[in-house]
Amino acid sequence: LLVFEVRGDGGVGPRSGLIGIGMVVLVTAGIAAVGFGLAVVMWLLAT
Amino acid sequence: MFLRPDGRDLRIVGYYLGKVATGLSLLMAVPAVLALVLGEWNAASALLAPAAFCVLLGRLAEVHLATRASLTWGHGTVVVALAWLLGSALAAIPLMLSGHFDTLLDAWFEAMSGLTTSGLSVINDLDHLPYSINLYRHLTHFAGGQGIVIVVLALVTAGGGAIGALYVAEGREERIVPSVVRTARFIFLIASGYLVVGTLALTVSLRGSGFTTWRASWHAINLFMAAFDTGGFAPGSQSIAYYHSGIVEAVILVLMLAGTLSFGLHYQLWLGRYDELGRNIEVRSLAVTLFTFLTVALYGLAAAGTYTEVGPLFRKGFFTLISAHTGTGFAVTNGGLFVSDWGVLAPAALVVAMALGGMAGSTAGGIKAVRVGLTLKGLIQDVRRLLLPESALQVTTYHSGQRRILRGPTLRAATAVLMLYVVTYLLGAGIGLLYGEWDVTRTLFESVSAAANVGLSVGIVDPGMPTGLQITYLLQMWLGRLEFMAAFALLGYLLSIVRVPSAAERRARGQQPPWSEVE
Repeated sequence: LLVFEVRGDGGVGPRSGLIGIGMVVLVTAGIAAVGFGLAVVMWLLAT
Repeated sequence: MFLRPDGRDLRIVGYYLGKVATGLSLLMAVPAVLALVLGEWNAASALLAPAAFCVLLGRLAEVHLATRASLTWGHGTVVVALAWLLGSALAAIPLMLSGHFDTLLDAWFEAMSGLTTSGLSVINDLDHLPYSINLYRHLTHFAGGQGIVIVVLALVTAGGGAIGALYVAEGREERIVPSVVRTARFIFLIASGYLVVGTLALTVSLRGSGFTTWRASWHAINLFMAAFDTGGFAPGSQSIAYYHSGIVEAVILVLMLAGTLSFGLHYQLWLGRYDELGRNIEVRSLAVTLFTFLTVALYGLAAAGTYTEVGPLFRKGFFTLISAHTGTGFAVTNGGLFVSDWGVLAPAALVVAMALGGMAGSTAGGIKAVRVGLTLKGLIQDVRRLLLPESALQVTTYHSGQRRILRGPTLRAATAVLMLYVVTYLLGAGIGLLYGEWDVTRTLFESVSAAANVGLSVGIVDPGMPTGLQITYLLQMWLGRLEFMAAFALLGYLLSIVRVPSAAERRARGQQPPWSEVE
């Protein structure tokens, strides 16, 4: 993890890697939140 | 038009296949070390003997087939298509020697399923498999997910411009950074970054569920490889249901989604270009299809009364739909329930989600979000053309790393591959129906799962399945992973060997150049 660097391509390093992974975690949380909302709505619609 | 391959061409193909064999020996050596440490002597010999055989093959190829001739695009596609067939056959040897497979075909099926990151399994008594052999199964996901040929050539060889052909032939069209070797290494670095973070997160989650540190670590690394590479193998026969842990499922959800995002998108995110998430055609396409089929699945499950409370409805429905759409194939419920208890809408949503798959340039299979997005844009373009005056100039654009113009050849290629996937799904379902044991829902589910490299199963795939159907699914997994073109190129190559006269034959007949071309 510490040797992540693609020189000349914008400087991808461990810090930006962790931030990138954090973004994916946030996106997943967002999708799950919308998914839960959908589950509530569909449950209400169907019952 | 095809060129008839001569001895030099076959040497090049054999030389690079030898390198793949060498790479596979490394894949076997890693779990062999674990087997020796744990004292799993039978497993150690089952791994070391084939590893030695692969080293021997690689060495023979290096000594007898080394050539200065350059690798062309034709060679590249043939090497890749053959590497996935022969590589999976070699990778099957340790599995066969483990004693957990009835036939060599079963072991080959498992190896192909592993390397293509499908996750369909025909193993016997998985819960008593040696740790090292189980690790080896999951390592096939890791190597296959990144692209086995590219992994080998980027890490084992010095690389060079020649492997560009292999890179594209292996189903990746986008170079993230200018050099293919650096792109392949960057792909491996992304995977390594997620390996560290994902394995740590899973280990902590499993420790929290009561696992010992050793067991938590071992399950975590296997689960990571199967989740991030959208594979679907699990250490135990109950897949993710075994863990009964919402936290573990949440971490796996992140890893499955990370695996289905293209490495190009990961690169953009790592560069801090977060606006790509909102503009990228694949992200938009994936978001639309994911939420559409999630809605359908959740409504179907609620309407069928499968889950009477919101909590289980969300937990089972959401996880399974994400697992299907990302092409992973992890299960939190028995697969047979999909067709017996899930009603009609929810399994239909799963089948379509599996068929569509994740992003191009990721470890996911299926039609791919970019093709779905481009085809929809093409349809809209055609409708606009009908409504606008004939003289109107119409330009359709899409965003993928940068703004691009949607051109005819791009659209044709996308729709052609989309149609090939659909035909393959239907063919597999049709062949399944011929056996007369299953209805169309089951055969379509299983066929799509195989060809889209997903791994969810309603029970057709098991150690006792019919041989013909097993071969069908094996070929579907291979075709789906290669996205057809490399397989077709191999077919053309083989046909040209049979049907095109050699140079000597042409000269004997007094025919003039171009002597080795045929329509």
